[in-house]
Amino acid sequence: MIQTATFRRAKDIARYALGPEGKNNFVYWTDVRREWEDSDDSRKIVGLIGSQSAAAGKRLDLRNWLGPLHPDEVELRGRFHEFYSRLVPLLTALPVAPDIELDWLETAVDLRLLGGRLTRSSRVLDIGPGAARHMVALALSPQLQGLSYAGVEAVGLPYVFQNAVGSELARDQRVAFFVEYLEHQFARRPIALGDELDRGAFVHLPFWEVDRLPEKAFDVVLCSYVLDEVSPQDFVVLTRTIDRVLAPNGIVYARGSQERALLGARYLFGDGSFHGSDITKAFAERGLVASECDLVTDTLTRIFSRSREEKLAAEGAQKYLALASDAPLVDAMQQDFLDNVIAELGRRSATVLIWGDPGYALYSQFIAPHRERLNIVGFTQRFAVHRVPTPLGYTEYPVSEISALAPDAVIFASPRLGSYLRELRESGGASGQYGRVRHFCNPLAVAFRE
Amino acid sequence: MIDKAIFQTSRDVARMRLPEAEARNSFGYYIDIPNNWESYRSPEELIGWFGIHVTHIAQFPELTQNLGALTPEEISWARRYTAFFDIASQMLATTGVRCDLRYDIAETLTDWRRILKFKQLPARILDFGAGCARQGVSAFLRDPGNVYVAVDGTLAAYTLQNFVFALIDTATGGRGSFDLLDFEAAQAQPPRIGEARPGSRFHVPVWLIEDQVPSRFFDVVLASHVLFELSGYDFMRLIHCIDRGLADDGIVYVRGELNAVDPRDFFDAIDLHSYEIVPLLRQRGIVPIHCEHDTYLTTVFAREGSAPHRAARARGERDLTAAQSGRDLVLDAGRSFVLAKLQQFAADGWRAVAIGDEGETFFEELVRPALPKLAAAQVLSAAAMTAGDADQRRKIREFDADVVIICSHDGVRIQALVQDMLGREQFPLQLHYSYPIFFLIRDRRVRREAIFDQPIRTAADIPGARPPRLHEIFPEAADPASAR
Repeated sequence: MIQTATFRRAKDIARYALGPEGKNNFVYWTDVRREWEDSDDSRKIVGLIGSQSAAAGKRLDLRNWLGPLHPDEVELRGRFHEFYSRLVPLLTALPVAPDIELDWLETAVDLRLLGGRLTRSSRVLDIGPGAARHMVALALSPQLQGLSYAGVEAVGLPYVFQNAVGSELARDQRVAFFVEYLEHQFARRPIALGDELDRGAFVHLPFWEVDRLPEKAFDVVLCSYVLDEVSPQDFVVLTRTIDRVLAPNGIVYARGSQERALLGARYLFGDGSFHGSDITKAFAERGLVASECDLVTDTLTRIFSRSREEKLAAEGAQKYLALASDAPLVDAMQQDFLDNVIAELGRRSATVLIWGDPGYALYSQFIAPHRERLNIVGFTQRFAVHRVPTPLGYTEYPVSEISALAPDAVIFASPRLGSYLRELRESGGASGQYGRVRHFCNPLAVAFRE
Repeated sequence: MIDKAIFQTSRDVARMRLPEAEARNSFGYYIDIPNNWESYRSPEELIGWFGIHVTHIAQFPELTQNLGALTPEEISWARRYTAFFDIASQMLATTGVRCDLRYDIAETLTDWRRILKFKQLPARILDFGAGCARQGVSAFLRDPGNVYVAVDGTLAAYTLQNFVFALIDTATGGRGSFDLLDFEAAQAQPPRIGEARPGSRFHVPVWLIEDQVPSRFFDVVLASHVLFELSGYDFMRLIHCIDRGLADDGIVYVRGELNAVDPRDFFDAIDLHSYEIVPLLRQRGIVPIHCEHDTYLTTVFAREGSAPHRAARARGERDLTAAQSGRDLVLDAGRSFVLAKLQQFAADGWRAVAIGDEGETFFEELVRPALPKLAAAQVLSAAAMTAGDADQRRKIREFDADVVIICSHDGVRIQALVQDMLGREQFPLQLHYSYPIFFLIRDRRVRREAIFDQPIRTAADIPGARPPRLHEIFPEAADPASAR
């Protein structure tokens, strides 16, 4: 088993050759606190489960999108839960309740969207596997036995977690071979990753060793919640690597974490740092264009390939394919997201509270044009002290009074979504309510009362 | 030098004695969310912290305007301060890297102009959250007879402080520095701070300080840009240190805001504490005796009825004894700031355009009565400005003001309009504090000491005599013997 100390030593060795700027390589760039590098508390590593992809507020929307599961999905779901339930006690003896189901839902969406592109002979490269949910699902799926897999990770705790997953899958004979690169490195044993993949191995290696991956070898590259979460330096390596290792007819499946371009230079740690590169353009420069592109459960989901021959996108999503850079694409999706949300609020005849910042500038910019379609019952902002009429034509309430209003939904028009959502859930005994949150890209989100 | 492993292990030992939440949020630089002060990779990276006040670069024009001309003694101080950190940088890394020290020099000079009004040196000084120990260097550059205690809980800061202390010892030929981590690691009894001889320096991690603070010992307690940069737990440790350690006639010097306006989810990442130093010290018989906005809010506390308290009253300082909260002081400082600026404009014969609305309270009470004392003044309507009144705008352009005074709750917007109209470069300095009154100062009225016009990386960047050598940097002590 690999420990974080071993991983850190290997990373330090790799960074040393890069000089002072090396500290910006091989990092989870949006994890500003670097909280996923290491921990003395064994519960932390288990916390990777259910925290590295979809937000918990999207659980219901994921379920709704999936609808009834097919029999083989039901079987895989059972295996998935059983595997993680068995893994957790290997990582901590303390009582924990990881959100396995959330990871299953997100993984099931991925597998549906990938459909027939995954076969027993596929080679899959998973960049930033997080809690290794794809590794687990691919290994446990009876329909995909024989598939080979490579997981590439740059961060301490996820690396250790993925190593534990691979080891447990091998011990349980769910995969034929599990090959850990770092073990070979420190044992001074040379390893040919291409040969290992040829014999159906699941291999695991640190991000700084990606040049060891064989060229044009992977049919599917998974980039789940990763593309705008890496550092500027790592993004360059990432795109170069994808270009080098993708098979001629291979695809890149990219879901989530592609919308930060719209946040610009805004500086909130909650959103993390952004590498600043245009993902769409960077892929295009490598000859990779989106053949599918849509908002799936309010999450940007794309499939890139070297040509647009596979025009499988839904009719309504075709327009996104014409947008050749991030900002207009995300902006168009944000407009569609907003339109969709407002339509849903209208269908439900929901009473709506607007939660903004003093002055409500973002409300005026984004929501006000739609106000005729909304049943707005009031406004609030963190510094509101008294109930007062606003120039916007509605009453502003102090936060302490909003639980009495009991709106069916709260529209947030502020970049401080995380903070305000927390305050909403804490206010006036509303804890536990407003669990469902529709959100694509800041500064807009809607929380629904359950 | 303090070894990284010793520091971290000692801190881990201390944290393990605490409950989980307190342990997680104690003994560190709480608002350093990216953990930059804990994650340096090379000695060269440490050099940057010598110039940490570059983070206040936006306030630098105001800071240097307020400082005005430096005295020859201050210029000498700045040259020796720079020479010291130049040598320190060279010893840390031989790559030639230096940081720009002018922000720290301006800030430290501002601190000591204020502190020396209340307390003369030599003094017994406690510096809580000591950064790169600039206040300690500053104090010993002025007087070799101080006793200085630096307290910190952050790896990079603690490492630098230790290094700086050692370099002062080298420079002065004395052995006056004691690092309690050295003694802890050696399982040796540390010297007592309360028995310190003049010229001693003690270095204490936050987790050890509460056991080490001598009762009623310190003439000056420094908490500079630190109150809301600490976790609530460490903040209360500061309060306990002040309560126990402040001498009967000592002062507490606080630079920075006194109350948290929006403590939740600071930068969407952490909750700041919302403890208030004013009532917490009041409960302990320590009251504010001075508070002003001098680029940052700057407050001095003393024990009620103490000599500094009485002296402040005798000097005619406003009586702040009754202040119950930080907000009370903020409002008082805001009002004083506005009145002082208007008084200064009148004394210097400035021409002013005042933009406000008739009947608006702040405008009528504070601004309008001061206008007749100015060399020339023109009053314009804030409402008309925001409505885009062309006549108003023409009047502003033609008036050739030294200062534009904006008094409006829509001040930010009007300020932008004025700057667009008159040119931002012509009004490069904006002054504002607490009250909805903004002063835009004309370039021809902006002043600062020439040394601040360029980066200050080495002593050669400050005109004058040749840069001092290490043994010439600090004044000689009558008795450089150590505390032991």
